[in-house]
Amino acid sequence: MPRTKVRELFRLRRSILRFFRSHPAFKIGATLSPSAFWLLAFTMIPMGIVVFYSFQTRGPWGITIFEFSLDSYRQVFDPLFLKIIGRSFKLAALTVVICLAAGYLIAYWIAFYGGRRKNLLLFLVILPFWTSYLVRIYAWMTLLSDHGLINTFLTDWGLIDQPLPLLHNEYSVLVGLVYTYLPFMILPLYASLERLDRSVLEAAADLGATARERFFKITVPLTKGGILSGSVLVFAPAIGEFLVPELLGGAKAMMVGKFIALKFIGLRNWPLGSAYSLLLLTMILALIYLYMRAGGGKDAFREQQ
Amino acid sequence: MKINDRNRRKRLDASVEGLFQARITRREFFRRATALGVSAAVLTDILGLHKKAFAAEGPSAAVLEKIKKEGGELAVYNWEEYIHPDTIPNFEEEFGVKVIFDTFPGNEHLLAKLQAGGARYDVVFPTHNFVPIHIGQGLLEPLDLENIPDLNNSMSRFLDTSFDPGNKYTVPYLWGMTALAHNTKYTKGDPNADSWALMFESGPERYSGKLAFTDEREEVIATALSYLGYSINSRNKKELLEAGEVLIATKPHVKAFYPGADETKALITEDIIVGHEWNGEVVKANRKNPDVQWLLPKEGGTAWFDNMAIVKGAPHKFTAETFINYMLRPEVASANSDEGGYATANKKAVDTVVSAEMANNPAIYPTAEDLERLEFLAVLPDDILPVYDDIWTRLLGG
Repeated sequence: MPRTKVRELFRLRRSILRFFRSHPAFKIGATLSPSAFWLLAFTMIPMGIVVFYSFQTRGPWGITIFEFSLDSYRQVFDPLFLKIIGRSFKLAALTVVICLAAGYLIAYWIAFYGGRRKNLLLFLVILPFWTSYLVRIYAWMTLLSDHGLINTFLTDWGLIDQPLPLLHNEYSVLVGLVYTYLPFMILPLYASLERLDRSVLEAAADLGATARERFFKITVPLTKGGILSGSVLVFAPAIGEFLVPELLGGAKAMMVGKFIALKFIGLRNWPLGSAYSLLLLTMILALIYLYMRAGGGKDAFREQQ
Repeated sequence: MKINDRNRRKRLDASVEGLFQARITRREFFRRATALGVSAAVLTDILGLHKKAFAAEGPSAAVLEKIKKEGGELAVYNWEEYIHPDTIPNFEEEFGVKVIFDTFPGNEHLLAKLQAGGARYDVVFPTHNFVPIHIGQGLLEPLDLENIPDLNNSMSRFLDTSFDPGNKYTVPYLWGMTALAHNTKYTKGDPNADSWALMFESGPERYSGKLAFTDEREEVIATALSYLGYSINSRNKKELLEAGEVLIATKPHVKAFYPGADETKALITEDIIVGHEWNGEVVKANRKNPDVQWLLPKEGGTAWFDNMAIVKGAPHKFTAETFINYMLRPEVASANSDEGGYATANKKAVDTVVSAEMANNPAIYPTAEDLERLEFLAVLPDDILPVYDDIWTRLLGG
């Protein structure tokens, strides 16, 4: 091609790019698109399908008939559902509290005393996720069962006569939940602790603050963002947990995940199951919203920046 | 006679004559010796003397061709621990098929999967009381019984049943009972050792915390119905609620509601003393721990039989039918039965291959007396399903 032609093409390209780069709408669109796509494809559309199903009719033998009906919403107010939500909420909240206590300790230790080993320690926190989730739950069953490692150890050393009933109750469910979701708490906490300005703590020390005062009046409030995100990241999945109460709880401590699953598989009523799912989602979103508001809302997130 | 026949006749006459010739030319000698050698090799191949235990006659070339045309693959969806480990590899080798094998923990999971569109699988194994539901919803493909000539190996009790008249969709596989397993080391001398009261009365008193149930809703509710003297297929709401109350009262003493075959391990390690279990699991537990014994209470228990069926729209229909026919071979049926600890529905297997030890074990093949007390599960009608679901949810969620 002749030189002048090439030069013209380059100039054209430059002016096109300048047009796109300058318009704010395009700038925002370009940065949003991967996350927008993700949100749309994997959150909005599936939720839309659930909403759609909740307004359909249950046909004979469990086939969903695509006819508009509010039947599922009429059946949704079951006192048993509230009882199970109550138990799920209790267990999930306890999980958050325990994870917060243990997680803050670990995150603090890594952030302040990790030194050169920080990355290795964080890697060790994430490492369990490389194993199958189901295998890890079965491992806990091996540890806690009547003839499992812990009980065998205790009886062999004569510390107890009868094996302790460590498995198949609400306590083992709690252990399983805390074990599963602890890394979800550690990582956000670590992120906000790492970003803490140490000079602020030094200044406080110079002004005469004790270690305890420094921790509770400076460190904790400044890491509020991390505490909030960690809590939400633990609470939301924990409340819907299915396998842990099933295997570690002996299917006796039913949580809301199993309740909804029974509506789909046992009762074969997809509209009702979808309606319950939406109800649960609304309740959790409302809870999280209130929690965020109480915790400082948008300001807490601005801290993260 | 046509010209080919005439030529053939001439050649036949010539070779017959040759047999009576006193003198054999060298050429003739070599010809006959080769023929003998070749036929010997072919004979051993046909008899399969060098093949493994399960091969009867090798499949014809036409069959193999049809299988290859379908894709040479098969997807099987079966219960856990319900098939001999050699069955599938031998089938793969003999028929040149690649088999994808998945397991499911319960009938409702299978039904849910097929309702949601499960044509990914070819062969599935529904229990008899779910078969009418599958058929009614058009989830199964009608069988081409010409490809399953060995169907008549099955016991007549399981052929042409009310669940699938004429065996249009299903072929019986294994059958069994669900009742109690108990550890005789601890239950020795128990006054209720022949009744459901072992679970519901002695259980809370003497074995609290060491009772177990399976997690199959109909079976668990059936235990309480049997204990109360009602039919396991009761559709009476009052009776069902009563059974629910009995179960809820027992729940504080129950260790767990075990999914799939997890209870077997608990029985072996003696975490459980009295458990509601399928007979095959008890047989398997007994092999590892002889104290674990089977008990069919005097009030009765549930009986069921599992079937092989083809999913509607299955991509490998002919291969699936060939597989089902392969499973009907006596040696294969017997091996599967032995592995699971369940009785096979294959009469020919019981008559010819099954060991006396298995055939005389009342925990596997119930006696005529046992059969009087056993009731086969019936199809659960759709209108009573919410009652069952409500009882089950209250039981587990309370």
